[in-house]
Amino acid sequence: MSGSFRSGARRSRFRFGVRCQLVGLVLLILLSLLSAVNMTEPYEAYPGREPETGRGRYELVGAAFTDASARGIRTGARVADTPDLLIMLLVSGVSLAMAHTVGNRLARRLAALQERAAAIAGPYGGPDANPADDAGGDELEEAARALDRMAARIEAVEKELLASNRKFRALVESVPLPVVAADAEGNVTLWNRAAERVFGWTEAEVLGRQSPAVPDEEGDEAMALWARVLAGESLSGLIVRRRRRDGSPIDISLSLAPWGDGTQGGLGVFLDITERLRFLQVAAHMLRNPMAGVSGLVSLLERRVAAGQPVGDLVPLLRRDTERLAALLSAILEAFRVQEGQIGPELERVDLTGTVLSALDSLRVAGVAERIRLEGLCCDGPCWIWGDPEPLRDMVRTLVTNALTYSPDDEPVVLSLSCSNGLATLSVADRGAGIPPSELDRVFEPFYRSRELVGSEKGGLGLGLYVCREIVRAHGGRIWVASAEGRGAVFRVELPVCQGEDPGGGAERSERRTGAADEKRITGEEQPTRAKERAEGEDEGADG
Amino acid sequence: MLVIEDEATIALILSEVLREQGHEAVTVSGGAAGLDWLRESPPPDVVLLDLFMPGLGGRDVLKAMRSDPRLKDVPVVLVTGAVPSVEDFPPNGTYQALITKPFDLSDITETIDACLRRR
Repeated sequence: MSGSFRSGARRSRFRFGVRCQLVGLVLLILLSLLSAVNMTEPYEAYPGREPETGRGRYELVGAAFTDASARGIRTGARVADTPDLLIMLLVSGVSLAMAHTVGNRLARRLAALQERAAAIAGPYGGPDANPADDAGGDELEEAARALDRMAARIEAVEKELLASNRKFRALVESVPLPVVAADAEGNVTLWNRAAERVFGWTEAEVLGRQSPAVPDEEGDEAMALWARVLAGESLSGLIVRRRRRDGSPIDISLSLAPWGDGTQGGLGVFLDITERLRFLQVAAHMLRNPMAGVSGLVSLLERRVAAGQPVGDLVPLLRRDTERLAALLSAILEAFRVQEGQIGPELERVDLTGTVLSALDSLRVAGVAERIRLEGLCCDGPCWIWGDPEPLRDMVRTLVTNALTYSPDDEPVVLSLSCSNGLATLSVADRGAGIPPSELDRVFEPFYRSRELVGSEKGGLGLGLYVCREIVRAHGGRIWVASAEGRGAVFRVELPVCQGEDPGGGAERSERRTGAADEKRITGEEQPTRAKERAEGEDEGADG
Repeated sequence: MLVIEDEATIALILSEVLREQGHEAVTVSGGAAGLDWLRESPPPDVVLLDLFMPGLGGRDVLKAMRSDPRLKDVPVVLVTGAVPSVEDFPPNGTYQALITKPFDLSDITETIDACLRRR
């Protein structure tokens, strides 16, 4: 404990000790003066006479009288006959010495207590400091013990609080959605990694200030919502517009909840629904055209029937539009299926080579296989990836059909699959008109259709490539297109290959089923060489 | 009356309704063909224009019409189903009416009548 004394405590103890000593000194001087006053009457020395032992009558005034008495000095100032004064002096001296000692000891103990209390009150180290070392057996010791108990309690609570904080942070970080907390003034106190990813600002950049993701024009509404949270209200499913760091708008489904009664602020969970909202909007619009056809044709039918006119020419149109409606609805439902992440949980070891061949088989039935040229399939054997076979087959079929649609009838579509660096790469190339640079980024958007084919019988619904992208994403891969106008387009899909040794291995499989996409991509990139060796090793052993 | 519409069904419905109303209706598929027809023929009483078409869309056709002295005063009724975004919409004041798909046949007759009355 003494080692951790602070200068303030040391100074206090010093002051207390000096004070005791000063008081003693003043008392001594006062008593001496008193005795000096009593000695004013004249005296004579009695030479030859032995001084009395015990209470000496002959003393020197001003020198240490005890010393003088011990040496038996016979001469000196004749002190008045005042044994009471001597006793008083003696008692006073002893008292002073005792007071000094006790005072000093008390001061030391008090300083130790003060030091201990100061350490406990300190930012952190308090509870970890040495326990108070006081064995006085009195109230001070009890105070010291109480202080120790208090320190132990604080330490336990502090540890609990830290652990609970760590748990809360881990929980917040494990949420794949942006989670943001703010205090009563609306200043950010927490900004998780998903928020950093979605909005673009780091936590360090936004802590202690108003969220920069709230656009100026939404500021008042955001503050009004926050006021409701501070009043203790929980809100969920609010659709709001926010912005990313690059200024682009982002549509959010927002849930807000107060901390306790709300006076301490609260937190919000953000779900990015930009793409879904857009998808729904466009899907609804896309349904309008065939709907308008069907309802208009039905009205015409009624009129013509009422007028006794022939209706034969309307029936094929009606059939075509209802078929288009049905196809559009199926495509929308399929897109929803991949959007909702229903692919992820079904992942199993899939041979991509076999999947490609199977997709081509189904196209052969459709009578277009002679236009498809295979240029090398991965390693002449299986190429194992973690996947959902049915959507993967759909993806290959869509890419090939798309290429066939956009290339001249006499031009082949070239398909290849390769495995290297832990990645399986599928490419589908056509020799069609190509895609203008301005539209390259948009071809994977839902309902995107080449401007040349919009409304024509040849063009699709604009969901095929979007669904392909969603399928590839769900497998932790990526899809992109390269094209030069007039020189065709090449669609490429990259998927991470399996890292596991045991085809169909149960434990490993279930382990991979959770969050498989990201995990696989990381593994694939980290160990490209091993992945390749492994993939090739499996190729030899498999029966393909 | 001119109908610029690339959807065969909609074009058929619109032209039949117009004819029943006693108008003469010409149907052209696509924006570019529509603009060509407009430039080569006497201006029609009303143009029914589909907004979302391959190649030259309704917005482009409308813009070209408004900058052509011969065509700038021809009333235009926009017919629209799929509108991907507000940005695809022509500015207010450049067209006389808007019909959204799906529509009632009476929507067509009433809108056309209103346009003709205003002239």
